[in-house]
Amino acid sequence: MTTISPQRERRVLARTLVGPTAGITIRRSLFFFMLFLAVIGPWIETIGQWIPIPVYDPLRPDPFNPVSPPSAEHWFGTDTLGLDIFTRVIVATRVDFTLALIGVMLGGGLGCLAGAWSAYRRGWVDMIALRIVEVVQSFPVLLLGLALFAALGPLDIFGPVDHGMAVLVIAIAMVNFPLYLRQVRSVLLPLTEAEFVQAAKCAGLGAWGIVWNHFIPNARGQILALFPLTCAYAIQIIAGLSFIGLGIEPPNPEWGSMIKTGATLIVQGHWWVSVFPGAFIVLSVYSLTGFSARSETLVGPGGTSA
Amino acid sequence: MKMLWKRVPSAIAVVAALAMIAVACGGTETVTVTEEVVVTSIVTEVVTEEVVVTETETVIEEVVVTETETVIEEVVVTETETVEVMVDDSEARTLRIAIADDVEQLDPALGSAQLTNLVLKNVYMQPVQYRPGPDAGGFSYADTTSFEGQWIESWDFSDDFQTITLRLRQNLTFPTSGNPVTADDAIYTINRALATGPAGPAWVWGNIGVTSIDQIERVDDRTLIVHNARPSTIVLPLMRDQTMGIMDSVTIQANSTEDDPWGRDWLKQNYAGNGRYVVDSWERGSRMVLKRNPTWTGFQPYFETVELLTVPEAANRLALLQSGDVDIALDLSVQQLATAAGSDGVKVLSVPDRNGINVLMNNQAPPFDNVTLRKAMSYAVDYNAIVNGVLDGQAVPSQGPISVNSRFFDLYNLEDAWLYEHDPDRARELMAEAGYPDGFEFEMVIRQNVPLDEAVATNLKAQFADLGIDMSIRPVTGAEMFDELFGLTYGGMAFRGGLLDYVDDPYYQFFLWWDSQDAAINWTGFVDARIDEILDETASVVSDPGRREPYREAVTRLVDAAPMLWLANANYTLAMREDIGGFTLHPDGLLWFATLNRAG
Repeated sequence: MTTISPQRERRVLARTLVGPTAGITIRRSLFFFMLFLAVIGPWIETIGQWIPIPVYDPLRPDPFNPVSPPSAEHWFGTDTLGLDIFTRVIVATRVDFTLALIGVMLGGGLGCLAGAWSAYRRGWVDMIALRIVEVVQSFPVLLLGLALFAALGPLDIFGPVDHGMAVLVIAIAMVNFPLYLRQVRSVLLPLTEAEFVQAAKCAGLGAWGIVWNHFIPNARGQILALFPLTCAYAIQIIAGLSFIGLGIEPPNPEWGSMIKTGATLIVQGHWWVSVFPGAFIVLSVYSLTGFSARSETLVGPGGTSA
Repeated sequence: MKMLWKRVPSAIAVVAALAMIAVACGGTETVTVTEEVVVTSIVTEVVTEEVVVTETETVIEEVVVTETETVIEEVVVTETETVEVMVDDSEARTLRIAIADDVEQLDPALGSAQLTNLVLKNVYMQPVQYRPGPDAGGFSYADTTSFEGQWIESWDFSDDFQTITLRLRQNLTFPTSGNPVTADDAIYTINRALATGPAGPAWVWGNIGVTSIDQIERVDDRTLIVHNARPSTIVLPLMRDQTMGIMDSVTIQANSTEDDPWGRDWLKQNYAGNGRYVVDSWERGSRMVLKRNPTWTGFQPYFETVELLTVPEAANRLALLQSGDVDIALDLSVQQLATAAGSDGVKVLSVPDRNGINVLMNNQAPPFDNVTLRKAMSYAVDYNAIVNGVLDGQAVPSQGPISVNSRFFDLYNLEDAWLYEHDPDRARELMAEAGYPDGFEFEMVIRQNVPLDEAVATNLKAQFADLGIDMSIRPVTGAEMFDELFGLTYGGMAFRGGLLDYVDDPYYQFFLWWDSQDAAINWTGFVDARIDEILDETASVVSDPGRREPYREAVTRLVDAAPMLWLANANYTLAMREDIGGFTLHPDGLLWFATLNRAG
């Protein structure tokens, strides 16, 4: 097992987020472009007043202009309600990215802690953690999502937070929890007998102190590699659940529900309603998985090449 | 890269082979289609001969045989092909309809979904039905003032309208059992209806005034007398209800148990009727086949077989219609109807109807317990956007509780009772007057995954947002929607598609919706004591001149109180193959198979 020096860690971070020596890749450009769209999403109408791009209120239907093909007025066409697809795919970027990020951070964070604790304590704690992971992972993702919506649907427990969004976040967290737990546990398991851990114990550091200060930092590289990948996966989950009618309520823009709107129209030749939100999902996932591949390369044993 | 280039020739070979296979398959299909076209024209000829030559059945048979044989000799050579012609003849006499859901069940006493009601109407025989009206341009409206007997042949009202003498049609039998239709079956049917109520036929008989089987006197084997009936204008219109089908009492009793004395469980899955069509087979979830009733001796429907094919996805129903695999596709969206209208061989019938596109407001809970605010909402709606945008012009703006396409709208001159038009300034004034100058929040409940509901709700949300009103949309299942409506638990507004009164009569509309004590579907919680009085006073008035002024007053009061948003009266729309004709629109909007043919 390789431990990573602070210098190398900083280098990995810098190369992952800013750029390797080989230059800017297409995936990274795409990612920053999507990130840019996610940031400007809510203000897209205001931006449309300054620069000449045809953007509209993403929630205001034009009943006299439904299912119109891409044109100068509507770059990506309109859907069955006459909503502008170009505006909506941009606004949806933030929704999908934010939910994915929160869900992964929640599930991943808890998974990391549980994985590190499980690796440190071993024994029955480890066994219980692994059984929980196996149970959760034995459910297909969509089935797990359906079950969650069925169970949490009638409960008014999220206060002012949108109920559908909250359940989506929980679903993503539940899917990610075992992924991170397993990954972190497998990385840290060999470290329990390491000298620096023994030294920390001798120095009187408590169990949580050791886990927090000595275990988690050693798994940071793997977490970093896993993070973009799981975010991409989470975007797919959000889109999948929205496609089957769970999560984001229409007419709020979300890629999966937008694809669903257009799914039945494709056979009639109205391809644009589904294709553009679908393309945005593909691009997002593509850009994020690229990040993951790069992170893995950078943090792998001896992996300094870009 | 080099390897890739090496594979190109084999890839081309595979693609070419696939293309050849595809062409081969396509060619075969073309041949089949051509044969079908030829045969269809033969059948058309035969039908023409039937009509022109004579009306007696014997001669029809002779003509049919002769013509068919002649043409077969000309066109077809081998024996195998002769068999194909015979099959194709029945093909032409088969009507295929793509439906969205499976039929729920087959007991007339329990039907609720529109599709189930449609089937029950066609496979059971009601006491009476409307006669078709005159041709209105490729279709006809049912004449709601003229009835023809079905299982009753004739009827007489006493002078006080409280006694009705019903004479049963003779020589009817139940085709699946062979049992004759008798007065005992009629009495059993009424008794079963009353016992299995209070909904369904019990509710219908109750409104006719029959609440006990003791009110039915059996005079002889074909005569019944109904005593102490409730006089009203809707006695006969109620008797055409799809729940009123006569049942084979012998068969149902044979399949009843101690725990289930009226055979309800059995009748849900089985059939004991004698409609113009009878249920031949039913594969749950996929297909129901109906056959023309061989025991009916009156006018014979053109189609010998009606196949109802369950196709849940609307786009697939449309595709089947476009390819000619089905003759009629039900439940298409506005956009799909527009696509269908532009397809070869497909036509879309769009007939002005009374179907109400109405938004319900909860009159008993804030904020819409405030009449001024309800009126403000009525001014806030952009009716033109709904009628010409959402409904693509297949509708007209509504003008109150009685549809503008009801014959009573003109008869009672209800046009001057209407108040509202799209006037945002007036809406703002009324909102301020109601105590909401800066807007407010509320929720609209709609059915999930129903395009019309989503379209209406989304458009209203945007329109209300212009006035500072924040409307959220909550999609629920159909069952949850009913719970919310009957329990009046929805927060602000609710919308569940078109609302159609099965009987075109102001009394029916008012006792159904607006009687604060007994309304069957008072989904708004509206209460007006004066309207209750008017209803009591006019319930037994059976002449229109005597009802005109009271109903004008009731409608005026109702419009002024704005208990719901009356947005539009949507057309009845039906997408079908071009050769389908004979459509008659009944007030209940339930497709009546008996008049359909291939002479469109």
